Amino acid sequence: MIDTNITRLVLDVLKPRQPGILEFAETIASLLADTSVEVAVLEIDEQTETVAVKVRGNALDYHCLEKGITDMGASVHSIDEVDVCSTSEKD
Amino acid sequence: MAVRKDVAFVHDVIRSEGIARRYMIVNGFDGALTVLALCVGFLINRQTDLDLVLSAGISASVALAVSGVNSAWLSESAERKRQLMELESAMLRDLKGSRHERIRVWLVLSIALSNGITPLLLGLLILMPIGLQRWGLIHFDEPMRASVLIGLSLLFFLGALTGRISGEQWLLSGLRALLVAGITAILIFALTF
Repeated sequence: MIDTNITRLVLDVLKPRQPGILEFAETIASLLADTSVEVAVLEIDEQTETVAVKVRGNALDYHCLEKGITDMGASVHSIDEVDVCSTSEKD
Repeated sequence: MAVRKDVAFVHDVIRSEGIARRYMIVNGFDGALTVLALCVGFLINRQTDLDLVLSAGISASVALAVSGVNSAWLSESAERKRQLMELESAMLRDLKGSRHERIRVWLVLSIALSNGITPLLLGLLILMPIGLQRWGLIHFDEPMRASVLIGLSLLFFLGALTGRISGEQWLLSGLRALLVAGITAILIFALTF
């Protein structure tokens, strides 16, 4: 039996100007344990910002991340990069 | 956790927009000037019935507080609703259930309360010497004059505060606020004496 885990995600996200990227990154990091989050602003408009969100962890739950991002008024436009690793389960 | 983040978000929005501070100063000035004008009016007309002064002053303060909450609630809820719709249009999504939608009511409530509480507090502060005298807690020789003095100090403080915020000379702004109080006293004297 082989198990797969997402270990890295790069998301293209459109977010409102508030919350700022500090709080935005902290909130994403607080969604899952043992994760590191990088947020880079790609484009700034009057009311919105386009940001690249890079999340690293041992087993990322995409739906949990997406729910947290949506709760902050943002929306995931696309998943640009993903790293998945497989592990064999020891029975 | 979510509630704590929502409260922090409300605090951030209020602080970044400076809107509560603006409302507090504007309505605080209204409240302080109204109660000060009442005291000046009673003083000019040699009214010494402290119960009457207290009753009129407290009534005016309460009315200003209720009016402040109501007016800020109406204008801010309409403004926030419009802002949310604009943000929804910029985000191309419905923000129902998001933090922006959740905090809207809290934001409006915080702003409305700060708009209403300030004139009430300042009004009561001005009336304090009269109240303390009336209830026999502290004896003032001239409680009405003490109230006027507190009122003028508060107006000077509010004027100085606006000067400091706008980067002007705080002393000049404070004196300008006192000038407004002086003009009000002259008008009261001219119309009632």
